[in-house]
Amino acid sequence: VTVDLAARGTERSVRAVEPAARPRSMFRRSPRRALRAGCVLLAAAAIHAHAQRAPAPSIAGTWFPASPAEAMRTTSGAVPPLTVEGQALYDERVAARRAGDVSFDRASWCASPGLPRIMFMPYPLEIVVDPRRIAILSGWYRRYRVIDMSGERLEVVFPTSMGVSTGRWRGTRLVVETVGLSPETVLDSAGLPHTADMRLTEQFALKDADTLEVRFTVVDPVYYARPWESVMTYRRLAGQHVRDDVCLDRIKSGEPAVRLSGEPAARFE
Amino acid sequence: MSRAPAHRACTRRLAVAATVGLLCCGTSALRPTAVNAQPTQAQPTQAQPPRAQSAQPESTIPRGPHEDPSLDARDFRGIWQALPMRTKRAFRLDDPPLTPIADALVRSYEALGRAGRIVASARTTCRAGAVNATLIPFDTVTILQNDEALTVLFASPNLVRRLWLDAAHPENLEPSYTGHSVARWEGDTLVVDTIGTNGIAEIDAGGAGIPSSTGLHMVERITKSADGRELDLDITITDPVVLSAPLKLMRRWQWASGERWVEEDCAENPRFDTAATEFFPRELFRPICKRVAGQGDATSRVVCEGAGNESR
Repeated sequence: VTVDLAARGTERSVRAVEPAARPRSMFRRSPRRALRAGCVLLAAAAIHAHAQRAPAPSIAGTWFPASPAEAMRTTSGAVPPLTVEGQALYDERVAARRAGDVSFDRASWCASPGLPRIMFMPYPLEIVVDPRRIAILSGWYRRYRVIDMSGERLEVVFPTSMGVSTGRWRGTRLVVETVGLSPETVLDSAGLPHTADMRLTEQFALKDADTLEVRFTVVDPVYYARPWESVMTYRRLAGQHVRDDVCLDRIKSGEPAVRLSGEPAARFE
Repeated sequence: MSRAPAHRACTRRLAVAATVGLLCCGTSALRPTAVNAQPTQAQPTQAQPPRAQSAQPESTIPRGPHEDPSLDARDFRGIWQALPMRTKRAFRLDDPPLTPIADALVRSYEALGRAGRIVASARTTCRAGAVNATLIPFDTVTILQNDEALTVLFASPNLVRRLWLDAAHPENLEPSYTGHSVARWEGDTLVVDTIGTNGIAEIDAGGAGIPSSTGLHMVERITKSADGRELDLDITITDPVVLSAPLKLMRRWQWASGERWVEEDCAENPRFDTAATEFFPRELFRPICKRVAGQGDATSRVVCEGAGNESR
């Protein structure tokens, strides 16, 4: 059980912090002109009021991958362009998994799956938006990410599973750059490798009110011959929230540490 | 105090690890700096923490951008750092009013500790609860806030609390480590009511910590200082099974501009060198994973039999 079904009010203030969500009014900028155009003012005020009642859809909310994937593929469906060195490591892991040895995968013992893998797993993700930072809460074992929105560069002191993420709004799109990712993690359940020098770019954009698309760009010259891109869409789980999940308790009860597939309904109350 | 169980591979600032080391037995991923370890000795009483010191020693701890606190008394957003708990024993509460059954349990664990056993706890086996995380956070506390809820991100222990504003507890509440928290404003004080904890996580954070029951009830009254730089938490905990009287505590979280959230990655880290001395108050705490020592250049691995990762 990873999601709380209880709906709890609106997300008005969350939406208010995103540029696209702010209702715009020409009359705020030119009150004198607005006064001269009384009828236009009335009409515009009505539109303005309507906009306030129905703000633009937000990426804030709870989402579930539309097609959770064991193995990441490029946007054209191909295996990522591994270098010889990357291919050797990947083959080794694929063979180990086939033989039943998943110990290269930290998530199999409930350590953090890392990025971008946690974005592909069949667990809900809840996005909480503040002006200064954005949090992405995973329904998998309490993992969460914090994206700094200050616009400043943050130094990487040592690599971690979620790395150092900084974000910026480009219109309604959220662009997140992440560095400092620990090479102990894998990109996907299949075992795609990465180095500590990998740069990950994610672009979050709503396709419609209930569909979120995230495009991932991986740059890691040691293991990949060129930058490559992958994409995942998510469907909104309206009125639901990520709940506490303890992986160690789940594996104690015989459940897998990480599911490879499944509908969110299987993990909701 | 007993040594702590050997079940955590954790990343966190070593400044904290200096005091947390006894709790965190991970061997490979501690954060690499220990320059501003928080003192644990000769501290004032737990009833009222002192004002924060302003001196900032040099460090290689990851730093965040400067950030000014909001002066809005009802805006708790930002990054906070709890002042150290001032108690006689690290991570333990002083003289809690325990019921006879809880007192006997705690004393038995302490006796095991004195005999050299390592007493595992929910917190030291990566199952922290909302209560001990709130009372004894080791690292930053990041708060996001909107009309619906406050989202409280504890870096260490790795835990998320949601404080649902102007909401009611569900009727059929499924017990969990974090329980269910609802919050409302009384003037400029946020009153948080938490029930629904699962009785597994301890109230404090020692290896022989104060247990809890599913009847635990925590009320926090959180008030921001006029300069926006401190949150004072006035906490009352009742538990009909464990506590013979309400447990009243004060905590203070300090505005932490320049600090930055850094993850803790807590997972079983079974170590052969401590296995023989460990004691597990609950079978749940006993690890099912084994550490396989690497040979030659190979690194050690952790293998979880029955973890059943679906990837094959």
